Order: sequence, then structure tokens, then C-alpha cells
Amino acid sequence: MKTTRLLIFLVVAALSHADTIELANGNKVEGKVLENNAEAKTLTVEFTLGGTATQRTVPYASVKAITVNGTRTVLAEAASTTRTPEEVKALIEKIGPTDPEGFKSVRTNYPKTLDLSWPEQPGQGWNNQKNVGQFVWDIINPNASRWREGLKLIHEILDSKPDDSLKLRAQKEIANMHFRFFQDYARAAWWWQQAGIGVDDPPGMHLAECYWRLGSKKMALDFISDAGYLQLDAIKLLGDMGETDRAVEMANEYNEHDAWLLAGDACRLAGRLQEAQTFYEKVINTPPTGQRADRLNRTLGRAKASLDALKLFELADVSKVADGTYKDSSLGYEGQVEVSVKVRGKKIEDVKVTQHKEKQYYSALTDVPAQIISKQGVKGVDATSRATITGEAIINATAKALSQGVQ
Amino acid sequence: MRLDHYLPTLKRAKKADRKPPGRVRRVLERIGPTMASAPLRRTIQALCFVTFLVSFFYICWPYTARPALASESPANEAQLDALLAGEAPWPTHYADDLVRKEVVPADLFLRIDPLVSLSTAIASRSWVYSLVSAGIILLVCVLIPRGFCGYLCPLGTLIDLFDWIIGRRVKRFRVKGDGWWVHIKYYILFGTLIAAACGVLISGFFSAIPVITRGLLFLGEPVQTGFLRGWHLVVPFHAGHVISVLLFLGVLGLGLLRPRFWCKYVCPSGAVFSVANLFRVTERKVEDSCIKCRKCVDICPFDAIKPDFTTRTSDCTLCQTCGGVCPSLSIKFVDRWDVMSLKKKNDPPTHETPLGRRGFVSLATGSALAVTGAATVKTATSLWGADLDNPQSFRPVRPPGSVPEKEFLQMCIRCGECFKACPNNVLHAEGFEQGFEGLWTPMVKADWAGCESSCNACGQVCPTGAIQPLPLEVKKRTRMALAEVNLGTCLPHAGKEACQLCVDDCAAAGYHAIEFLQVHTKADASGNPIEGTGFVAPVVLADKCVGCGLCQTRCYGINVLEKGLLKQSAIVISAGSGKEDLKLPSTTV
Repeated sequence: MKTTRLLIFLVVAALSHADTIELANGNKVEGKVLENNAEAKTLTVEFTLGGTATQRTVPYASVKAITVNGTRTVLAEAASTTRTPEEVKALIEKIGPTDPEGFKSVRTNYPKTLDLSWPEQPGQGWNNQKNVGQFVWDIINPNASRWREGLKLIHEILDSKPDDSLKLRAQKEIANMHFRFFQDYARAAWWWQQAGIGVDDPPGMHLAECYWRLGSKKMALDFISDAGYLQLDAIKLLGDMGETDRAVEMANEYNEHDAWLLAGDACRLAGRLQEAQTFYEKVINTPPTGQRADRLNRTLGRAKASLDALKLFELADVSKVADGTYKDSSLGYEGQVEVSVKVRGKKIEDVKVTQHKEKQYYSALTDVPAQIISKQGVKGVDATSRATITGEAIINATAKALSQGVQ
Repeated sequence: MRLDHYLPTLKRAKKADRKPPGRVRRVLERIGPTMASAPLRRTIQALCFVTFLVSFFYICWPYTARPALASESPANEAQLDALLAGEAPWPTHYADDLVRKEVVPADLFLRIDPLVSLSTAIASRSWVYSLVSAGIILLVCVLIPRGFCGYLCPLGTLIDLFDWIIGRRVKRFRVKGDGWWVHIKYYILFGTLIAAACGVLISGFFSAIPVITRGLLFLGEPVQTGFLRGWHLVVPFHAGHVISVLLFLGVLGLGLLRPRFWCKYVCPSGAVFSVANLFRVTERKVEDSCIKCRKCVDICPFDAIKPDFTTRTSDCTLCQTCGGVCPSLSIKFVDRWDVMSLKKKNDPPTHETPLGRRGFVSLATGSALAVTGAATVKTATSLWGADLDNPQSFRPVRPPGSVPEKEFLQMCIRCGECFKACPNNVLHAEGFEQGFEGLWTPMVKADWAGCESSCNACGQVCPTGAIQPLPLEVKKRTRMALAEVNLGTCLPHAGKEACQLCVDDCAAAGYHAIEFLQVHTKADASGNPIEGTGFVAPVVLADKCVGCGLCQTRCYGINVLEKGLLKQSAIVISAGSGKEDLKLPSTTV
């Protein structure tokens, strides 16, 4: 069925111009789909580069979706993966023990002073040049460019015939890195399994998430149903999997700030915005119940930020805004960008940048306000590329200005 | 060989035959007598002037560049490959935009000003590619002696316009006769060439095209920026700007003494052509039918006609205006050796002694002055100059692709073309930071703006090769400086607050030359990090940083100006050995 739709779609595509091809890698590119080779599972696309046309053949696998005449078809959906628990197990067994592509050529780059025996208790004082965990925390974690070499480092430790305790720690860290850095769920699951992680161990919910991401929601649910106690992470996982009711139920059972925050996120993800708002407000308005102060503050901060974003962007609706001219500002490239928004008869009549210090803005100052007026809101407005910071400042300032007038 | 293109006066014997002039002639006459007599010359002048203005105000105006929307429309193979491979494509819009607009080279007139390339080549003792275009124009001017001044030079045209609008109405400053000033141009030329031979390049102070380019840069560019982009983007003036503007106004003001006073007596670029006139193959000649009416003497804009109505060959630009007003049609523009029925010389007597005693005395005095002037300049630069041997001396960050500092000071003509082409005015005119030696040279002011990763304009428009014309592929890897983080003030390093402006900007530009370091992490009793404590702080990767200064711009703009958290940017670019790739060109272009 999906394939037929795709074929019809491609016939239409061949007759028109300027299709948008969304690549699996996240990039978008404009071109014209010339031919769909179902046999070889490729698309032949004509791209126009500075006035001259060039053709490329792109495999289905690297295309996420294509848009023609405003109609978007997701290719990945056609090949979207649902697997039985047996298939997931087989996949983990097959991919898990292998190295990621090109991993042999990765070179480690760590200070000679690093103590590769990685003692469980690093001792007093923070020294990221000596302690492996602290080195990973300070230098590997924040830099995507160093993730592969970080994984290599832990592999080297694992290859150095460690004792059982160090071996276990290395296996858990490798699994953690596959999960956290590369969203490589098959390998992450395999390494966690090697380390003997069960549902009640700290990464248990992550292992469950791997099963779900690999295609079997049933396997994930079965796995967490064996849990011996209530885990906070389960709320998030249930929310992500679309089990919003269960997530909410669990949060109410848990009855604590962190749980409500996660339930709020789950509702927001499911589009149940009013409920999400209620949960966030509950986090903010409930007095503390003896949590550690820094942790509570973080939870409160996140709840406030999410609530603001929710009100400004998702619940925002110009039909609720009273007539008037509203001004607000947001930080741009060089300083505050001030915007004045005129609303009359439940319509955005005008958006103007009234003050700014930007140097490099191209057309963001005119394009973005025009988009806001034509879309009657800030939802779906593109910040002009390469002037993104200015564009986003205009969008944020407009959203804040509109929120002033909400009745 | 006849080169006449002037519009001759209508000659009719009988009064009864006189008809009103045709429509074309009436239009030309309405514009003015010089237009009526030599319309071709005025048209070429106008075309050249417009070309100059277009190249300055349009081709060198980078803000017509637009990035591809949401990186959806790649401009070249490299960008498409990057998109397909899942990388952020390297932006090329500024470079592409310049190529698109550059129908004529943006620095065309700078290239054909012979003094620019000649003095640069002498000062730096190297081959300067614009010598070719200067050579070509000198060859052309052997055929049309000093034609550059009469037809092409935009400064000359601007001075003509000044005279038409202001000069001819203000008579009180007019000087009469020929004074001591008549040969200044040769002495200035001589002086600048001697200074160049001593390794000091000062021809940019007086050379015609640099003078008008800088004048428009410091007077016209701020107006253009102010009206089209916003007055907050106008670069603040300093003493260096004021001096340049005064010099430019002075050049125009000389027009109050006499039309084209500058061109006739002062301009050293004109002097190069006057000297080249010795090799002329054509000239203006007067036949014996001359009725001595003086109309030609009165209209000649270059004072190139002697009292006996013959030609001062070193001054005549072959503009042919005299031919158009001559009632007896006695003036012709022919090859130098044409001797057909020429008018008798020295009739009436000119009282001119081309190289008599007085001429010799003035030549000697002038030359002595020129040598003294050049020596003074040389001494001044060594006493109050860049002082390159001193490691403590001020070292500006030069544009990407610049030659090494010593050679840069010898090759930069200080025309200011690169400032105009530079998006966001990253390049500022130096004042007296390096004494007199660095005046008006381009330096990166990263507090103001950073060098755009998609732009290579400065090297493309530089007429002397002081900034090499690098392809964007090379420019994006060419280091101009190195960024350094001040660990004491950088907000996360100092443990004050989270900030990653510099890292984000570096990544957005495509360099990825600043990475994170987690700092001030709190550990629990067993030495494990407490989640949420500490900050990620910037660390510059020296092998990836090209010193574009975008990081500094952002830190200064937000943390210093907007939020007032710092007194200076906590990440600063600086030049110096090991931090930059300043290379002499390996091959001549």
C-alpha cells in the first residue's frame, strides 16, 4: 500500500519542479526527482547548482522524506521497523559484538598521566588528567568530535585484561557511550547484557528503551513489568513510547516533583497540552518535600522553562490576544532585538523590528516578520538561514510580546 | 594617421546659408561647450566615472549576498556532497556574489594607475601583477598621450564635476600665470619613487586612484552604510580618517585655484604619463591657417596650449576640445612626424625656455626637495614606524592571505578597496598604532566584526597583491591569527556562569576550532561527579583556529556591550609568529 502511494507520488513528482528531499542525515536539499528505480531502491535526482544541472542517484535508505507540491511523503515510514522480540534479540546478537564502521582507524588521544587502572574510588580532588572517569566527564562528554576516541579508550582498557570489577565498569561505560553518544541501540543493549544488567539496575530503563527503539515495544514493556520497584526513568520511557496514560498514572503514584515534570513532558509530547501545563504548574507550586536543594532547583528551572515554551509557542493563539500593540525583546547576535506587534480583531496586523544592534542580518529583519504575519503566529516560522540567531530573536520577542496580551 | 574625433564648428561662408544647428548639436551645446566640441571624450569620461562608481558602490558592496535558504539549494558540487554526506555545507555566498557581480575587475582603475603598481614593485622589490595592466595603459597612452588623465581617470572627472558645480562660481581664489608650482608633480613622483627605493611606500598618499578611492571610502561608504543598513554600523572615525578626508578635500579644493590644478601640477600618477609622453607617437598640431583667435587657449582644460597656440606635449591629453572650438579648423590630431603646412612656431612669442637657466634652477631645487622629502619620510618611518624587530611593538591582525608584515607595509598602497569589499567592516583603517608607517593599512578589528567564512573579497580586490587573491578553498584554511581564551575572565572558566557563545559561533561558521572542557565540577565523597555542577568552558584547538575573530565579536558584543559582565572580550585573536600563515606568493600571477 505504502509502495503504491510512493509510486503514484513519484509519477506526480516527475512532472513538477523543485521537490524537497529530506535526507536521513537530517539535511534538506532541493532538486527534481527524475526516476524511481524500485528494483535498485534508488532515486535519481536532478540538482541545480548555481544555474547548472547535475544528476545524482540516491539510495532509498539515505532519504527520509520527499515533498512535492506541498505534499510530503515519508519514505522511512514505508521501511519503518517493527520487529518481534525474537528478531530484536537476533539483531542484538548479530550487531552487538561487532565494531562500529571505521572504528579501527580511530586513534585515542589522552594524556600520558591518565591512570588506566581506573580505580573505583578515584580519591580526593578532581583531576581530569589522571582519573579516567573524570577525563571522560570533562573532555570527552562535552565534545562530539571526541566521542569515538573516548569509546576507543574504554575499549583499550577492556582489552588490557582487567580484573572483574574493572571489566564490568568498562562494559557498562561502553554500553552507555553507544546509547548516549551514538544512539546505537543494538550495541548498547549487547554490552549491557554482557554486563548482566537487569531491570532494577540503574541503566535498566535504558536497556528497555533499546528494545523499544530496535522495534519491539512489547519486549520493552515485558522487560519493565518485572521491575521490583518504581523507577523515575520509567515515566520518561513510557511517555516516549506513547504510553501516556501509564506514564501519568505512574507519576501520580510516585507523587513527587521530578515525576510530575516527566509526566508533563509525556503529556506535551502526546499533544495533551492542558494536562502538561497543569503538571508543570504543579511542579512549580508544590512546596519542597525534603529533596536536595540543587536537584530541586534544577527540576524547578526545567519546569519553568518548559512551561514558558509551552505558553509562548504551543498554547499561543492570536485569537486569545486582546487588541493592542505589544513590545518585547530577545537577545540577538549583538544585543537585544526589540519587536513591536500590532494585533487587531484577533489578527496579527503588523510585526516590526523597532530596535536592534545586529551587524549581519541579511533579510531576517524583514523576512521573519513577514512570515509571522502570513502564518498569523510564530509556529512553523523559519529563522532565515545563516542569520538564525537574529531570526530566532525576532520569533522569541514576538512570542513574548503576544503573551502579554493573552486574555 | 588622423585621430580626430572632435565635432568641428560649422563653417559657412555666407550669412544667408546659415541654418539653425541640428537637434543633436543643440543638445550637446546645451550641456556645455566642451561637450559640444568633443562629445566622444566627455562620453568616455562619463562611462569611466560611472564604471568606477558602480565598481565601488555596487561590486564592492557585499550585502547583496544571500545565503542559500536553510541550506536547501547548494551552490556547487562541494556543498551538494556535504549535504548528501550529512555535513553542514561550507557557505560560499559572499565569494559567489563577488564573482557574479565582478563583470569588470573591482579594482580596475587601481590596476591601471601606473604609479600604484610601479611604486609597489620598487618598494617591495617584487613582481606586482598589476604592472601588466599599468604597462598596457602606458602603451595605449603612447598612442593617446596622457589619455588616462583626459578620458579615464575618475578623480579627473570628479574634479571636472567639482569645477562645473563649484569651481567656476568661486573666482576669488583663482591664480594667474605659471608659478613655482608648475612642476610639483615631477618632484612628488621623484620623491615617492626614491622613498619606494628605500622601502617606504607613500605613493598611496598622492596617487590619483588611491586618493579618490579613500575619499569615497571615508565619505561615501559611511553614508551608504548608514542609509542602507543602519547608522549604528558606521565605523567610528579616528585621526587617520580625518587626515585622509582632509587630503581628499584638499585635492578637490585645489580646483578653486584653477580647473584641474591637481591634475596639471600636482598629481604624480599624471606625471608618470607626462614622462611617458616623451615616447608619444601622436600629438596635437596646428596648421598655418590659424587665425590666432585664442579660443583654444581659453577652453583647454589642461593648460596645454602655449601662447603661440602650439602644444605643450607633456600636458596635452588629446581631449580634442580645442579642435571643436577652432573657427578656422586649423587643429588636427595626427602622428608625431606629420609636418604638413604647420603653423610657424613662437608666433606670437611664448617667452618659454623649455630647459633654460630658470628651468634648470627649478629642476635642481625641486629634485633636491624631492630627495630631502624622501629622506625625511624614510627617517620618520624608522623613528616613528612599525618597529618590527621589537617583539613588544603593536602587531595588527592582517586580512587573510596577506604577505608577511614587513612586505605588507611595503606592498599595501593604502587605497582602502579591501575595507569597502569587507562584509561587516571587519577590516578597519589603521591609525597611528604603528606610527606613520601603518597609516590606512587594513587591520582586523574583531571587537567590531569577525571574518566571514564564506568571503574572500579582500584578496580579490587588492590591486597590489599585499593581500593575495586566495580561492575560498584555500582561504578557509589560511590562518590570520590565533584566538586565545583568557582563563581568568572567561565566564565558565572563572566559574561565574554558563556561556558558550564562542563555541557556537565557531561551529556555525564551520571551523569547529573551539571545543568544550567541563570545569568546576563538584565531586561527591567517592570522587564521582555531581550531575549538574560546573560548566562547559571553551578550549581553542590551535590547529583548527584560523583567527577569524567571530568568537571575539560575539563575546564582546554580548558579554561586554550588552550584558556588561566583562571589560574586554574573554577570547581574543592576536597575530604573531606561529599564529598566522603570512606567505609571499610562490608564483607570480
